[in-house]
Amino acid sequence: MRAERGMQWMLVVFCAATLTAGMAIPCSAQFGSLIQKARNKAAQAEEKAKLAREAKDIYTPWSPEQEQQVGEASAATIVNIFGLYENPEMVRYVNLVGDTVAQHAQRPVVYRFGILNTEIITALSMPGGYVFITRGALANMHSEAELAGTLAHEIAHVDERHLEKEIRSKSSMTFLRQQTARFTSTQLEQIAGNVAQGSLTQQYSRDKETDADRIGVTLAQAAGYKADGLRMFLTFLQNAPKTPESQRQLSLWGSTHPPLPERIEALRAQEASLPAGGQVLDARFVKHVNVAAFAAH
Amino acid sequence: MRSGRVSNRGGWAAWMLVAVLWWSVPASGGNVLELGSPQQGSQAGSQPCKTGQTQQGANGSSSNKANGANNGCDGAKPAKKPAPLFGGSLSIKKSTQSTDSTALGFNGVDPNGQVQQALLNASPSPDSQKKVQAMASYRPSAAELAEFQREGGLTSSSPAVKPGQEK
Repeated sequence: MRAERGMQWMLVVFCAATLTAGMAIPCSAQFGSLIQKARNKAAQAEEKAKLAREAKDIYTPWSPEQEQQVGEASAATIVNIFGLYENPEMVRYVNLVGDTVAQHAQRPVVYRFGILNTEIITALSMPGGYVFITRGALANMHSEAELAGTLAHEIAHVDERHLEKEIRSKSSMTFLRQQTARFTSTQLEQIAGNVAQGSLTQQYSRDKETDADRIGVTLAQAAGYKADGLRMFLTFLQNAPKTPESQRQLSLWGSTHPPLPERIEALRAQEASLPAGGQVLDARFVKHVNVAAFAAH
Repeated sequence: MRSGRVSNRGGWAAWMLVAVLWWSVPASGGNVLELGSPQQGSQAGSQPCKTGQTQQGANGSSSNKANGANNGCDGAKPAKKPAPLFGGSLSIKKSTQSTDSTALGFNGVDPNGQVQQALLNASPSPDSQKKVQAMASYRPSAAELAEFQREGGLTSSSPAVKPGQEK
């Protein structure tokens, strides 16, 4: 009898223990991972805040020499990918328009403008004043004001050191601390690679793009062009039929710039606050840049 | 008699616990499964989307991104229709090419409109470096620029860096 009772109590204890264990394991699996996740998040946030504080402490802009070094190296990567369209008359014309706009920029940068030899429609800029527009973009513009507006947007990126700031924000603190007055070849290769890759595959942050549009319009207008040049070009691109070929031509533009309707609206609003007038110069543009000019080369 | 009652009570308690166990073990098993199943479910549920995204990535994800096209993975969000397109005579022009230097068309970009990764990772050739250095030769002189601006009715200003001036 006693043995039987003992067996029964042992069974009770065994069942109770099994029940408790069965419920406790999933609970700890569930809540344990949640707690761990929360701890990891807090640690990450702390690390980010620390990096931001340090970045603020050690930030000094690249010297003109460093900027020039990075610009030349990253421009070489861009030229290596697309090639340059070497029509001296057309390249000189783009430089004349670009310099006219760049005269109104804030920083004393020596600008160099080049035409990339590709059907892709885009424009991009490197630190140190290397600005590129593609053959495909030129073929789809209708006036000098459109060209000036597009180049002005890129000049604004250079003038405001946008790409430099983007690259710095993504670099490690160790890397930033190691930067000296003149980059070593390894540093330069790494930075130039980041700059070229960033300009072709990533968007600037939204506020930098908005800034570049806003400042660009101001520069183009200060140079004497009609303020709606960039907007006219963007509107043309937006209205283009969505064929596979045009999509391919616009693929880089789409992946490296904010959506067209948003930009067009913001530009329209800005133009409303500016004095009317300014040069469009469509005839001069067609004289220097048109399909016939491309074909004749 | 008394001890028999006690033993009966013990027996009832044991059987009740066995019954509770009978119900709770499948429930706790279900609980364990539930812990795993959302992940499994989400993996299984998202797998087709992931595959779709990969395919889209391979087929030009950026153009889809540019169009704001919905890949159908948002679940709650209905697929957005693209904005009405201009159907008139406007079309993206191709710059005509006639010489070797322009014969490559979409050079540097794959059929999906993405910059070729191999080219992005490659070190620039000495020729590309020379071409970049030669870009400065296209800079107009101050006189040329002034003439260009006068001709176009544009505003000239005293530039921070004079055209043609190198550092």
